[in-house]
Formats: sequence, structure tokens, C-alpha cells
Amino acid sequence: MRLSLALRGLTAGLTLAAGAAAQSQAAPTSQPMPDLPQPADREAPSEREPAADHEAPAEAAPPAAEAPPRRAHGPSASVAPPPVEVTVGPVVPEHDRVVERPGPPGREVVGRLEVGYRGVFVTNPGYNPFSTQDYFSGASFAVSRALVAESGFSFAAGLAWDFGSSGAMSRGDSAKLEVNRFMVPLEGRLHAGAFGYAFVRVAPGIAGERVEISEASAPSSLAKSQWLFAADASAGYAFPLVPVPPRLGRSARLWLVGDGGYSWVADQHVSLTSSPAPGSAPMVNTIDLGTLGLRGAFFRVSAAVSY
Amino acid sequence: MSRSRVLLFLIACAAAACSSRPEYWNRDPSALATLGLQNAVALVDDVDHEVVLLSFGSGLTVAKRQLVSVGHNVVSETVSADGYHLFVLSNGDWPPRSTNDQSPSLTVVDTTGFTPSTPAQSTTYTMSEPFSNLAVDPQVVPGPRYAVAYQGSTTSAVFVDNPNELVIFDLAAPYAGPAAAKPNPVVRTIQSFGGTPQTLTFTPPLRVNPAIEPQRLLVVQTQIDVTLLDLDHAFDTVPRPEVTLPLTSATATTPVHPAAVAIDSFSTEPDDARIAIRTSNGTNVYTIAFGPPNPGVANDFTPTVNLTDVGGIPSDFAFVRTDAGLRLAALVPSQVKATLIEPDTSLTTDVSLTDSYSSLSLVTGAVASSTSADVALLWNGTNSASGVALWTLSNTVGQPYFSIRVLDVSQSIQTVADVPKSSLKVLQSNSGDQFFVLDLNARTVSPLRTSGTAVLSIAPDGKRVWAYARGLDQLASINFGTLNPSPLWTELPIDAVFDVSCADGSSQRVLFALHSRGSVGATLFNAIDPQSKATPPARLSGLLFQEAQ
Repeated sequence: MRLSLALRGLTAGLTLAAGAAAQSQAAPTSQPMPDLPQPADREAPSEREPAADHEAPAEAAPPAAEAPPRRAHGPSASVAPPPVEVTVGPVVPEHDRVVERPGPPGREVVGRLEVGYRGVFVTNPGYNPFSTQDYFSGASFAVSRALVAESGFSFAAGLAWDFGSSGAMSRGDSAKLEVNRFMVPLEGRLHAGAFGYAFVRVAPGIAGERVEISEASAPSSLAKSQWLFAADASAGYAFPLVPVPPRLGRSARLWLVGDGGYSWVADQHVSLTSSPAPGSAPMVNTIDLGTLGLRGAFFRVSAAVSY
Repeated sequence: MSRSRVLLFLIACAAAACSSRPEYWNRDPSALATLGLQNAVALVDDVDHEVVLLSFGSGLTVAKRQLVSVGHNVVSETVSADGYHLFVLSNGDWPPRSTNDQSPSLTVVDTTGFTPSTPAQSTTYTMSEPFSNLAVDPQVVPGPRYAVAYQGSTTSAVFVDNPNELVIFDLAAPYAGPAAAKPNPVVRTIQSFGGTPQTLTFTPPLRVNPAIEPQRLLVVQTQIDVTLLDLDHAFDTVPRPEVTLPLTSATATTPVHPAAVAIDSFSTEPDDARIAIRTSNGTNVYTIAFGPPNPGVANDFTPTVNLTDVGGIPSDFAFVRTDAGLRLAALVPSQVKATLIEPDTSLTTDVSLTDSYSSLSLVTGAVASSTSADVALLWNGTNSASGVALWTLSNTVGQPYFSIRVLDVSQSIQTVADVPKSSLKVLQSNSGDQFFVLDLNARTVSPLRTSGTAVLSIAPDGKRVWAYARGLDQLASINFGTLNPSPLWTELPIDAVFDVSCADGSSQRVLFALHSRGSVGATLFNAIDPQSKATPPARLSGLLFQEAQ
């Protein structure tokens, strides 16, 4: 607000100086100082401001009308000073405005919550015991926050949790695989105004794989758990849907987000054994299922709420 | 969303429905057969077309696990008499519809040098068409030399087949295709007079011609005749012709069916090779002697046949040495007698028996005897209390009764099993709930009772016998020295047991109790001291649940 007022003052000053110059050229007569411009009824668009949450504003504000030329007050006709054009950026809609809080300039304070569905196309032979399809799916949850914004680009970081499981009957036995992934998504965004933004995301993290097989000849279920390094790289698009009425002074918006890329989890050699009950004969062999590499092309479709 | 994006999405969904998962995972494992070798256990997995070979350490661990590929669609598997060779006969992908389909084959796995550091060797012999039956040479030293695949009366999978065709494998040579200079295997069609091969018998080396080294013959029994094939010359560029011996006279209206073959392998003296044939529906016993070849005959011998009527249909027979020389002893249960046939003259001597014994086996090597005459064990009599009898073939002529001694076994004996390297026999009764340990030297019979029908498995080292009931979780080890049963339990029902040597070269042995549940498991015991606290039982699980090959 203070910046806009200062800019208006500067504009008025420039106009006034231009008018004075024209007037001095026209007639050397003395004349009273023109009136100071009155505040406009509607807020004049200021220079481009960062949009709230770096989400594109819902609509672009119409370009500001040209300031009417100042007329010289005097007995003789005067030449209207040339209009001063002021270029402004898109008007940030009300509900997308940045809520300024103490902090470094340019920092966003709006967060984001995502809930989605994630699917990975896995062709690794080690996955065959756990699925009849070359596909592993699960749910995806993420929270993120924009950290840096500059000229239509922004950068966000967050935390994500993906959970999925798969099972199949293999060789007469029930085989199950459960995966929990904890990732740190790092996202670079390119905004497209009211149409959303494109993004590139890299998410390193860890994945916990648990394998379990119910084998009739074993004293108990055969199981193995292991934590492994994991990473995702993807590109996608976020499309804004509808705004949510503001509450508690904050505006929110629903988004539809889709991305796809490559998901990688480190290899795990699956070699299973079981722990028999006390007093029972111990199992002295392992069941070797080879190497499980849970990686491949993936896609994710999410619904997000920004606030 | 544009149409192209919708199409891409649908393609992605369709790709998700596709699977590269091999069919192997969709089929339940089936240990088609589990066989015990001298130093390993073999599980034949036809789903994955492989044999899982397991050897064990003295600490009841798996010393080595080896996967050996075999042909598709296994039809027959057997272990050689020496216990170190496994034979797997496969039909392949029949009928073949593409160049990728597999041909029928025989896979021979040699575990002679199977150790943790040395894998078992396998050799695959390819055939041009599938066969259902396999006969393996019983030679123990130095191991099996020949194997023969044949169809016989079994229904074939091919559109047209030749039931008299034999495929002969030389196991001492590698595989060589039909176009090779010396193909291996070779295909022979034996001449037929209406019969098809039913039983094949490999002879030991026989002195069929005093001018040449002893030769091995293949005796092929059909429904109506017997054919002799020279095995040692089967792989010649021009093989020797086979000799077929019809058993039915030209005037008879009912064909005679060969039942069994006996081979005189006592001596390789010149002119001493003999083969005997008994029938299932005739009272004659046929004795084949060998003489010099006739002029113009390609074979090294000429067989001559003698017929001897023994007065009834013989149930069992064997060549025996008596104090009067070589005889052919034939049991005639219908006459409650045994007949001794002089092979050269066909003169007979009848010996009355105490019961209609129908089975006979020579136990001379296990019995301490003061004479050079053989001792035969008689069993499987019709009388429920007939038990077994020892027939000493000395003083037979003239005093037959004194040569028979009935042992006190008050049950009819169904099977007699040899105990290796000892003078013991294990006798199993017809009822199945009792078995006996016969000491041929002491002439004692020790009964052992079971609570149900027991399956017996004698350890190859001759020190103990294992008794178990299929489908139950109990078994027992009976030490032959003390006859003390050691009861044992498993956590899963037992389907078979195998007593094998350890791979680490120690004197320890391992008992492998098979559980055909899930992907097949087993319980391991210390075979020599199964109740030892130092080596408690151990479990194996999921033996066929593994990464697909």
C-alpha cells in the first residue's frame, strides 16, 4: 500500500513536471500551480507484485487507464502534456494475495497439501512373485511450501509419504510386498498465470520394503524388511480448480496436479528365512527370490489444497 | 483434456494390465519325483524343467544346492543301481509347433563328484520322438554303461509310432546327432512277430563265444517271444542283427507269454553262458545256451534253446550251484515243490517243499556255509504261517528234505529286502504291521511291530532301517546291531525318507524326511544318532520356491 501511494505520487509529480514544461514553452505568463491530483476511486494498478503462493492470479487486471492529460489553467490555450504510460503486472485476485508477514522480502507463507494416487510400471523380474502385473500402485501424501519466488518462477520444498502394497499367489504360496517411501520433494515451478503452472520435481528419500511369503512347509511366515535409498524425478502440471471462500483471513484454492517421471529404489536381494517357535527345529535354508528392483516409469494424480 | 492425452492415458492403463511374469509363478510346484542318491537328494520339478540337487553337511545344513536343467514334460525318472546317476526322460514340447520347441531328450545327471566345490555333471541326449519307458543298465562298477528308451504297449503321443523301436544310449560317450559319424543314441527296430517290447534286461558280460571277450546282451521280452541284441556292437556302422527266439510252437493255438529272465553270471568260462526264460502261462522253462556262430552269420554266437517241462507254471527261478553242478532251480507253487533242471541235458530233480513258496532269492554270500553250494531263501507262501525257509542246495539230490529249514516266522512274508554289506534281510509281512530282521548266519528272526502299515527304507551303509507311515509325522530308526528303535517326530507329515552320505567327506550321514507340502520341505536328522543333542533336527522349507530360471 505504501509503495503504491509512493508510486502514485511519483507519477503525479512526473505529470506535473511535464505540464509545467509545456506551459512554460507556450506562454511566459505566470499562473497558479495546478491542483494536486485527487486519489482515484479505485486502486490504480501498481507495478507487478508477486502473486499469492505464487499461484497464478485468477484473472489479469485490465491495464490501467491512461492518466488524463493535465490542462493548463490560463487565458491562453496550452498543450496537454503527453500521457505517461505506466505498465503494471497482472492483478492478484483478492483471495490469492500474499498475506504479508514479517520476514525477508519475497518469502511466501502459503502452504500446500496433496493427496493422490501413484502408479509405477515395474518390469524387474524380482517383482514377479508379488504381482501378476508389471504395476505397483499406492497412495501419495505430501505437504510443501514455496520458499523462493522470482519473476514467474518459484521453488518449493516439502515432505511426502507414499504407501503401496502388492500381493499374488505364486507357486501356491501367498506372497506380499509392502513399501513405505518417505521423500523430500524439491520442486521448481514455472507459472502460467490463471492456467496454473508447470513444474519439475526431484524427490530423494528412503523406502522401506517388507516382503512376506506364507509357505506351507515353513514353520512360520517367511519375511524380510529392509530400508533402501529411493528417488523420484518427474515433471508435471498443476491446474487450478475452484477457490475456497476465505476463512480465518486466509484464502484457499483446490488444484488438480498430475506428474510423471521415473521412480527408483535401490536393489534388494530377497532371501527369506523364518524364525521357528522355541523348541521347534530351526530352518536352515533360505528361499532365494533373486534381486528386487522396484523402479520404473511412474505417474501420479493428486488433488491439492493451497492456503 | 485433448483426445491425444486421453489416448495416452488409456495406453498407460493397458500397459499396466500387461505382465512379463513367467507362467512358472502361476503353477503350483510339484515335486514330480523325489529320489535319493548315494550322496544327494534330487527333486524333479517339471514346472520349472529342472532338478534340484541337494547335498548336506554333517552339521545338518545344506552343503550345496544345484539346479540342473532337464527337458520339458518329464515322463520317467530313475536312479542307477550304483546310486550316483539320475536319469530323467522327457517328452519335450510335443508336438513341436515352432523352432523354439524342445525335442524329446534323456538327461543323465552324474553326482559322483558332487561336492560343495564341484558341481554334478549332466549330459543331455536328444531324440527325434518321445518315448514313455526307460531301462537302465544295472551295472554297478564302474557304473551304468547303457540305457534304452522304448515305447512298448504304452500309448504314444505321436501320430504314427513304431512300438518296436528302441533308442540305445551309450552313456560313456557324449551326445552325437544322427548326422554324426558315430551317432549317440542309435535307433534300432527289432523284428516283430506280433509282439512289442515289454521288459528289457541287461546281461553282465557273458562268454557267448570262447574265441572273443565276454559280451553284453540286451534281452527284450515281448508278449510272445524273446529277442537278443548285441549291445557291445549296437553302435557299429553296420550293427549286428538281433536274434529272436519264438516261444510258442507252430501248432499251439495259445501264445506263450514270457514272464521273467534268469542269467547265469556265475562263470565266464568258455561255453558256460546261459539264459533261462519262464512264462506266465506255460509249464516249460526255456534254457538258452550259446555256441559258435554259424557260417555267414554276422553275430559272434548262435543260441540254442532247450525246453523243460517242470510240471506246473513256475513262479520264480534262478541259476544255482549245487554239489552236483550248475542247475536251474524253479519254484512250482501249484505242486508245492521246486524243480532242479540240469541245463545241458534238461534232466530234472524235484524237491518237495513245506509250503507253496512262490519267491526265491540267493543268499549264499550272506550265509556262512561249509560247502560251495548255494543257499536260497524261499518266501511268499500261500499259507499265512509259512514264513520263510532256507534251502541249502547241497545234499539236494537224494536227500531233499534235509536241505530245507523253515524259520520261525508266523506270518506270510510279502517282501524280502537285502541289507547291504551284511548277512541280514528285512522281511515285511503281508499285513504290513510287522516286519522282521532275519540273521542268516545265526538263523534268527527278530520281529518288530508297528502301529500301522509301515514303509521301510534300508540305509545304504547297511547299519539301520527306517520305518515310517506315509502321511503321519512319526518315524523310527532301528539299528541293526542292537535292534533298538529310536522314535522320532516331525512337525509335518512324512512322504518319503532318504538316508544319504554327507558332502564333507565325513562318516556322518543325514536322513532327509520329505514333506510334500507347499513348495516342498524336509526335516533333517543325524542318521547315525538321530536323538543326538549335539545335532538336533533341522528344517528345510520352500525347496521349490525360488527365482525362476
